[in-house]
Amino acid sequence: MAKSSIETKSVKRYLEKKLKRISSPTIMKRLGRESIKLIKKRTRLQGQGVDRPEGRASKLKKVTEKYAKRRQAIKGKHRKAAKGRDSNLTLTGSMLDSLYIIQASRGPIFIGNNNKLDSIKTAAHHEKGRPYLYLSRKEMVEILKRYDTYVKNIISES
Amino acid sequence: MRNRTGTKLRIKVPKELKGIDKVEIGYRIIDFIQERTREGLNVYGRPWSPKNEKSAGKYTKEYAKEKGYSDPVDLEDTGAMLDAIKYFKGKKGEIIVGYKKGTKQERKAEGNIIGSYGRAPNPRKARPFLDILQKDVNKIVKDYFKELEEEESED
Repeated sequence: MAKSSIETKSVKRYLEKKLKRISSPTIMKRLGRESIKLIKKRTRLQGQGVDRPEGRASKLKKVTEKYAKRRQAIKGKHRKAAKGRDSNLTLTGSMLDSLYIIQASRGPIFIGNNNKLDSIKTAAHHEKGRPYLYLSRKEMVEILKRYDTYVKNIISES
Repeated sequence: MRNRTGTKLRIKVPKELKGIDKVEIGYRIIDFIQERTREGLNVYGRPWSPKNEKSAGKYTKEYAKEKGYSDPVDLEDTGAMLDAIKYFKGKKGEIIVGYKKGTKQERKAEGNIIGSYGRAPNPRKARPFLDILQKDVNKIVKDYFKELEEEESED
């Protein structure tokens, strides 16, 4: 039987180089930015949260009657603040607007609030049954789609 | 010249830009247009005008009732229209952002840009949001490279 040897060293080097490029900090940061966009959109515009990584998005727990009344009376609230007993975690809008990328190098991407007060608010919402800082399964699929498009754009511009 | 009709926007960028830098700057331009529009501002960073009923600066009475406010005009209900702005491959020294031809979101965007909303174009109702000033593009480019430099010096 005829045999041929294939030199894999250069292929391996090529793939390693490519892999390094497609997980570069710029791309990871872009994924972070797109994740923040999706989280803000789902929470503020749809009033939905996600209770675990890749879980299902569902309506945020309603606020109490007392808080709903108090919220209604507040002046200067965000124009997209929820009405009635609905929740979209937007009163002044600062908590969702303060989301930023804490770390996005090669490895996991960390996002959170850029100030202590909003971090405390986020933690409290997660504890009290209104978790929002995860990506749902559907959003993960969307992020992967966006990643794919982004990389394709880079290849076509290279 | 300002973009008052198109659903695709051609932007001049430095000719040396290519690959990941060019694409990331294109995406940052999209982020900028989305954020500015969400805040209810036009290309000059000012609220849409004129600010009277049945014009660009205010939502119609019926729509405002549904939305809960008549202004600022932030062009965001479900968020799908702003979310659909895409990056397209441009020539050397050019970035193209905008809408994929023939899509529902392109028609929606066009309605806003030319003020037609399914009827004849009306400049008083037009909200040409798909636009950016050259000075804003220059700032995005400058900030991007500054960020890269800082990252490299941290390594």
